[in-house]
Amino acid sequence: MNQRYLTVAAFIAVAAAITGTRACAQDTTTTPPAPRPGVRLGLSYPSGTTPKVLVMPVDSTPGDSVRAIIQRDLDFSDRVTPLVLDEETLRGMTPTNGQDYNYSLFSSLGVAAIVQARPIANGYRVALYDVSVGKRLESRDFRVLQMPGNRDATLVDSIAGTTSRREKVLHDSVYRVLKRRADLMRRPPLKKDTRGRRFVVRDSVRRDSAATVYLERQLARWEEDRRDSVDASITRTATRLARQDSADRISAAEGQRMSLHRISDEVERWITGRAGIAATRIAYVHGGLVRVVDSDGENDRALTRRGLSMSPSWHPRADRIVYSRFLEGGAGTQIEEIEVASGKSRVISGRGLNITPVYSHDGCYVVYSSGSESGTDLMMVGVDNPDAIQRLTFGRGSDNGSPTFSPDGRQIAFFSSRSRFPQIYTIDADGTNLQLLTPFTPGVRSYRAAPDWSPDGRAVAYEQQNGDFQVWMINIRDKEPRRLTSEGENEGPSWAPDGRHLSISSTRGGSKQIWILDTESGRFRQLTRNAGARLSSWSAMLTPTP
Amino acid sequence: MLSIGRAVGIAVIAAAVVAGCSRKPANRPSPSRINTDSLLREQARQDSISRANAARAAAAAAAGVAAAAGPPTNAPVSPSERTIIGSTVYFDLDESALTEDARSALEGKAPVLLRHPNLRIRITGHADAQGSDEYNLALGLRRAAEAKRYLSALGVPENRVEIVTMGEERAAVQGNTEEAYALNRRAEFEVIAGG
Repeated sequence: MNQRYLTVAAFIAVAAAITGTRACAQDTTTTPPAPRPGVRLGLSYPSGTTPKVLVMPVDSTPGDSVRAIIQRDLDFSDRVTPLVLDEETLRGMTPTNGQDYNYSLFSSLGVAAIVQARPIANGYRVALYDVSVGKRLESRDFRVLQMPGNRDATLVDSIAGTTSRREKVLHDSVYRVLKRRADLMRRPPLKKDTRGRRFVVRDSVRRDSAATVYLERQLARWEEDRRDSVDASITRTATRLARQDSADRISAAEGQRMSLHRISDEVERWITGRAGIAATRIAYVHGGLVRVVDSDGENDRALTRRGLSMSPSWHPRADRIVYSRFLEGGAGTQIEEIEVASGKSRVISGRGLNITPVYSHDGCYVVYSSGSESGTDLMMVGVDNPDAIQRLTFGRGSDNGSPTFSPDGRQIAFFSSRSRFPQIYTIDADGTNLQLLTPFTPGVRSYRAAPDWSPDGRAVAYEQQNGDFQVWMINIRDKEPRRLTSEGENEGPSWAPDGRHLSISSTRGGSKQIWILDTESGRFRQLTRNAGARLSSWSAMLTPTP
Repeated sequence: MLSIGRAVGIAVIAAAVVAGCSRKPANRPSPSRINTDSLLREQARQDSISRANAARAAAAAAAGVAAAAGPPTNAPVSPSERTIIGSTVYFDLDESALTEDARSALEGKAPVLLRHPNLRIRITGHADAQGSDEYNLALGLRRAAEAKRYLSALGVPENRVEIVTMGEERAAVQGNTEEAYALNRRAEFEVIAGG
């Protein structure tokens, strides 16, 4: 009875929340719809193979790194095979102005396509040549962020210049005040004699010298004090600006690499018909801090500064991350959100046991797991309305957590220990229609947790205990489970936007690190170099900064 | 002219073909279906049986605890009482149910808490390093909650006991051995006020 009442209440609350979505939908910062890919004739190559692609040298500094980045992205895509030839050979094969590539030569090397990037103002003109047809297939100009100049050298001079002008004005006014006091000292004082008659003390020489000494000493003391504090102030300002400068350079460098990753992703679309996933980042936890790293393992940096945080998960716009953080003094954990660019964070949930948060597919809600003495259950809260909390599961004292939305936002998969050992279940987004997703034999210990729904909606990846822990995926349609890993212990899978690659924390290299698995070829590559890295989350495609 | 027999034969064949098409393809071994409802009901039944048993055991123990406690006092907590309160309670793999040892440890703590009415404690649940870091947070909380529930069955007011979890984040013993795991599946007790 009570249960039914709660379910109805939850349904009403969810319905109210869905009506409230409009406020969130009015948010003008939501991403514009992606342009629809038009009909085009792609590169022709035997299906089921990865075409060999040659990335030609790029004439510019840092052109070599441009080529290296694109080449590596294509390699990491697992859809094409970049052919690595030494630069001298390739320069010899590059046609001079107006001439065509020697296609038959490339064809004899087994090359299917040639990628050529040429520097232009503000970026690169990138072209793809189809070797078998012998002509240019695609060409486009890409804007690539420029690095800002280094202002360190002139920084202290310019601050010192500004400061000295200001100090001169200040010095003059202090001098005027002291001078006035000294002048007063010079004036002969009036004194009274024993009978009460006034007389003037005539000792001007002594008074004069006293006043002069006073003026000099006071001014010298002021100058000395001032010098110390001015030097400190110049140093402080210089340090602050230098830090800002270096932050600007770091973010520019990150932006520059990302714009090169976008070139790779587009080149991949020209070749295979599907855009790549190089312009993405992966969040993970190391040493209690939430860190982010580019998909190629570069720009690895900490986002949170202190404390112990867990379970980072990306916003669908890939500009912020939600996570749970332990509070000081045994006050439990709370859900927080942090902006990746600015590092600004804010609190989303109350205190207590609040863990495993994820954004809804529209980014308007956060679903997380909240624990109490009577079990741990899924809650849903509006991002802009943290007081409106709705309960989604009723586990009767069991543990329910690690929610993950289906890409259409209609369903949530999560782990639940309601049948003793944790298993993966699904519910509708309003909390109704509970279904068991991972079949199990009652009584047999088969622990399953950490589900992640693939962005194409086809499958859910999770970790399963068969002695040790391994990553599996289950097809939504036929409920057919498939084991993906076997070497070392493998946990916490998170899907890339292509629904093909997974980030996994794995001990296959000795220590626990984040690795990338291509579920089609079974190829693994190590992403992080931080022993103990865990709890990874793969972002959606990063949209270019305006 | 067609013989009737032949016509009937054709009709029979045609019917068989139609039937063959409409019939579903041969049964493939489908993934085993599990009746979640009956499982959940069974689990709930088991839970309620063990809860009832626990309640009976607790009721029996509660009288002994009350006798051991004696009247409430304002005297400071003695070092030996402090040791009793601070002793750690251990759990089985992936279990929050209290073992025999855990129950008797809590039956030792309860009289101290009853004797010192101002004493407030915090129970922190922990898990070993095996399994999902996130599930282990919930498991740790369930362990702390189970310890608290037994204390309250023994007569300790609920508002004097706080519970938190650290999951597998604060191992008592480092290492990936069964010995280390067993020592890390635990609930720790600390005095937060009145001591």
